[in-house]
Formats: sequence, structure tokens, C-alpha cells
Amino acid sequence: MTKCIRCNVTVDNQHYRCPLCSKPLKIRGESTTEYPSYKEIYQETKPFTVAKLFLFLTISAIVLSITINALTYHINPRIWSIIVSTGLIYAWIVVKDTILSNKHIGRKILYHYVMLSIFLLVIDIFVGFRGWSTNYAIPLFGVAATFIMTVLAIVQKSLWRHDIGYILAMFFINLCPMLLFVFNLSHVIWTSVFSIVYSLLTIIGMIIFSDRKFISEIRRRFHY
Amino acid sequence: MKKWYKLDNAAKLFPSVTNTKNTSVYRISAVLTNPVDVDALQQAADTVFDRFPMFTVKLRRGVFWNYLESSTDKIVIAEDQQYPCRNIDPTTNNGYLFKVLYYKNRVSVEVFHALTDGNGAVEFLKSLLYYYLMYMGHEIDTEDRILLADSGVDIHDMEDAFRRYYKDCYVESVRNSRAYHIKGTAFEQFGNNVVHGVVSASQLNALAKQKGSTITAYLSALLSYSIYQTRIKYSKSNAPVVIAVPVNLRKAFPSRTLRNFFGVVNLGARITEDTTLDELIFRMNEMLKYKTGKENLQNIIYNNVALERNKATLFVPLFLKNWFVNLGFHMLGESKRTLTLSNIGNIMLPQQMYKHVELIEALVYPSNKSPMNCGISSVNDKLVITFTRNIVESDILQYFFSTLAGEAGLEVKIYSNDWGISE
Ligand SMILES: [Zn+2]
Repeated sequence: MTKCIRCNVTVDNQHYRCPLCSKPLKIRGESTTEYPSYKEIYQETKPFTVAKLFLFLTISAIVLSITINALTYHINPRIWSIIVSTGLIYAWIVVKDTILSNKHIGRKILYHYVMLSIFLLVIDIFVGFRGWSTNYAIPLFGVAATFIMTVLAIVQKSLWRHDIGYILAMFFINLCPMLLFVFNLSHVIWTSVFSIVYSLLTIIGMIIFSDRKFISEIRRRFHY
Repeated sequence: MKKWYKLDNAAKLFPSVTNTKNTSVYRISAVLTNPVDVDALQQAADTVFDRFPMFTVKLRRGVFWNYLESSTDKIVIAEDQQYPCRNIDPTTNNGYLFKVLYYKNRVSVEVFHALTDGNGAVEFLKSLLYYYLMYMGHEIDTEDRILLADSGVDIHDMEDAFRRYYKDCYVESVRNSRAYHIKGTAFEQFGNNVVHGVVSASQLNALAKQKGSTITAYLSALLSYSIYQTRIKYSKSNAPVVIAVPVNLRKAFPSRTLRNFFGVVNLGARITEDTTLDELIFRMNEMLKYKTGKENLQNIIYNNVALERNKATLFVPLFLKNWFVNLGFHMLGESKRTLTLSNIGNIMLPQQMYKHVELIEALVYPSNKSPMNCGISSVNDKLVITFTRNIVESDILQYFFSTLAGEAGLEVKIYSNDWGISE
């Protein structure tokens, strides 16, 4: 025990310095109230990680493609760098959210579906919107994502615990192509209808092949 | 089939507002007279497992609300290595929202606030220590002060007491201005520094009595005064200092729940050059007395529950709720308080346990807008005042503890975890 004269308090033996005013103290010894030394943790935070490297490479590539695009615009008057950039951002998400992350597989599929839809829409728009993304790609990818998720859930027997939320989310997403149709962004009706019918059948299948777990799972998700 | 629980009324807030810099994780520690035996502590953790089903849960996301799902995974104790009140990563620790940690003589429980409040965590720590001491070969008569593992789970432990004591009533809403906010330099590496000051509980109580006040009001006043003297005095700000004091609602509304059941009352004062400390103590005490009156606490319960009972909020998807709750938390909660002072009070143990427990410490997590918070707890006539902060500056606590030692004449013993302090 040492007195810190400046602060008028006694300081426990575990300290070299007064924790209030940092005045050096003479004695140091054992104490029951000692905390771990944080030295190792201070050193642990690495400035270099694989994720950071990929982020840097992605940003560099985007900046380069925009620069080249701008410099060669008089030769090739198209803004192709936007397509390259979205592609690179998508690639980065593949690395960070799929390869380097341990997130739930259902979530990964959902992310990919959303990002891929945006990516294809961007390409479609910049090569002079012909509507192949909204007509075919987005609804059909939705069906594919739901299908993969359902198969995974059945194979892993995790349907009623972890995957049901994502399958429900995909169900609602698959209703969206109908909106594209309503807002005149899509002109092919069979893909929208197909995606809706498919997800409806998925839900009906889940209900028919369900046991009490399904009802209880729905109740805890919705609370009422 | 796994059991699941709804989050209690207070708990609904925490998952929405939590991030690495506002962790909603508090810590309650016991410093024992002897170094901790790891095997005995693990055995004790295994024993108390069944008695606290409210703790052994994982947080899951629903569509409209989050919920808690029970789990049968073991509680794994771990050596304390990280700074206190760090955010709990749900992908580690078996997905549990609390941790049991040990280091030298200290046993700590870190709890994500959605599980329970300080009262629940103290009950857990007490049971854990009781079994730990038993496995260490000490005989202890529980005197009915410990929740025993073989007593079975009480249905009352689980109640959402907010709902039981909800009453439709008229509530006045007062528009308060922004409170003064402490600013400071962040540590080179993000983390929390803790400084504990130990004083005699009876001497401090006598001192507070002498000024006609309680310990909580006395320390709130001294803390406000310290903030004025070290900061506001030299700035142009005339914002009020507002101390947020969590109140255990079980005292006014009897409940044995082990979940959250607390309300927060704000003690505010606009301090000027002419304000004396005695005057401030008197004002804070009056305010605390009034605000912890039953009627006012009933209003707090009403305000908490009314929104949740609103049928419209039932059908707002979770991500939107998170957004609104976050906004409300910053606008109405965080910006209207300078810091939180939480007094978990005198911990009552069975007689035979006292000689094994030296100190109980309560650590309140800091956040961005209140980078320094205060926790108070006492056992064995030793009262520990703990400041947890994420800024370098220690001027306020230096003034606070110096005044407590100097003018009040108490003996103050200081120790710290030295986070962010080189060497
Ligand atoms: Zn000092």
C-alpha cells in the first residue's frame, strides 16, 4: 500500500504508477485484486489480414478500371468501368462473405442472390436495357436459390431449426418478380408466375411434410 | 423440442442498440481471499446450470421480435484475458450471452443486458460462489440467501414483471434538454479502463446521513460536482449534468424474477459557480426520493410497456424496429444523460461466506456518448466505486476520489486494470 500524496488516496501494491495521476510509486508487489496484463492483446491487432488485402486489391482494381475507362473514352465511348466495378464488388463479397466468413449457409445464399440480381441488372442497364435480367435471370435465380436452400435444409436435416427463416425470406423475395411485371420492367410473364408457383409449392410442401416443430417454429418467429 | 422465451420488456432494447462500442455487457466480480481453483469453479458452473435456465439461452432472430432459445451446451469458464465489458461474440462461448471468467482471486460474470439486470446476475454469482466454496471443502449454511441447484426452477424466476405491474395510467411527458457530455481522447487501442476505489461502507453511509442523504444521492452529487469542477467550469457549456440511476423495481413491486426488472431515473442539475456541494447533495437527494416514489416508478413501467402493447408495433418487421429503437435510444436516452451511476447495493451473503469474499465489484459498460460510467457495490462493509471508461483522461475520477478522501475524510484505496496505460 502506498499513499499518493497528490491524490490523497492509497494505491494498491499492484501498481507502478498512481492510476489517477500517473505519479510513479516506489513499491510494487502482489495483490488479490490484480488484473491480467494486456500486453499480448495490444500486440495482437494485426495491420495486415487477408480480408484487408482483398479489400485493397478490389479498390485498386476499381480505381484503375475507372481511370483507364476515362482515358480511353474517346476511343471507346462506353462506360464499361461500371460493369467491371460491380463485378469486382461482387467478387469481393464472394471472398469476404462466402469464403472468409462462417455465416449461416442460408444467409450466404440469400446475399448472393441479392448481389447477383443487382449485378445483372447493372450490366443489363449499361448495355442498353433489353430486359433479360428482369425477364429471366432474376426470377429464375430466385427459384434456383430457393431450390438449393430447400435441398440443403433437407440433406442437413436442419429445416425446422435454422433454415426455415431463410426459406420464408426467399418465399417473399420470389413474390417480387410480380412487382417487376406490374411496374413494366419485365415483359415475360411465365418466369414471374413460375417463381411464385414454385415458392408457393415449397411452402405447401413444408406445411404438409411438417410436424409440430413447424408450427412451433412459426410461432416463435412471429411471436403470435 | 427446444424451449424458447420472449425477451422481457427491457431486454428488447439491447439487441438493437448493441455494437462493439456500446456493448450492453456489464460485469460483476467477486474478489476472493484465496486464488481461484479452476476445476472447482467449472464444477460449480456445471451444478448451477439447471437452476438458471434463463441464462443458458441463445439469441435468435424472429421476423417481428428477437427471442431466446434454450440450450443444453455446457457453461465453459475461461481465464480472463480481455478488457472488461467487451462485446460478447455469439459465435463463440457456445453461443451464450454471458461469460464466467476467472483470474487470480477474481471470479467475474459478464452478462449481455438482454438476459437480466444486475439483480439477476448477482443471484447467479452468489449461487456460483456458494457451490464453488462447497467444492473447495467449506461447509456453508445457506440461510435462505442462495438459490440452490436442486431446488428446482421457480416459475416466478421467468416472469416479465413489467407486464405484471403494467397499469394504464396518465403520464406527463417532460421535454428535457440535452445533457452535458464528457469528451476525451480514445485509447490507442479500443478497450475499457477500470479504476476501483474502496471505502468503508459504514463510514460513507454515516457521512451521507450527516448531510441528510443516501449513499447513491451523495455520490451522484459528488460526481456531478467533480464533472463541473474539472470540465464545465472551464468551458462555455451551460448544459446540465444528468446522472442516470438504474432503479431495481423489485423493491417497490415485489417480484422474484431473474430477468430484467429495472427502470432508470435521471438526476439532473445545472451547476454554476455559486453551487455548493452540500446544496447539490440536498437537491439530488430530494430528486431521487421523489423519482423513486411508487407513483413515478409506475409511470416508468407504463412508458416502457405502452409502446410494446401497441398493436401496431406487433406487425412492424424486426429490422425496422431495430432502426426506430436505435434512433429513440440515442435521441431520448443517450443524449439526455451525462453518465450512468448504478448502485447494486449491499450484497447479502450467508454468514459463513463472508470470510471468503473480499470485495464485490460492479462494472458498467461505457458507450460513445457516455465514455465513462460508474458502478457501486458493497459487501463486508467494503464499498467499491468503479469507473469504467474508454477515454484516456482521468481528471474527473481524480477529482472525485481526492475529494472523497480529502474533504470527506474517508480512506480511499485505489486499484485499476491499467488498460491503455503504458508500462
Ligand atoms: Zn495520484
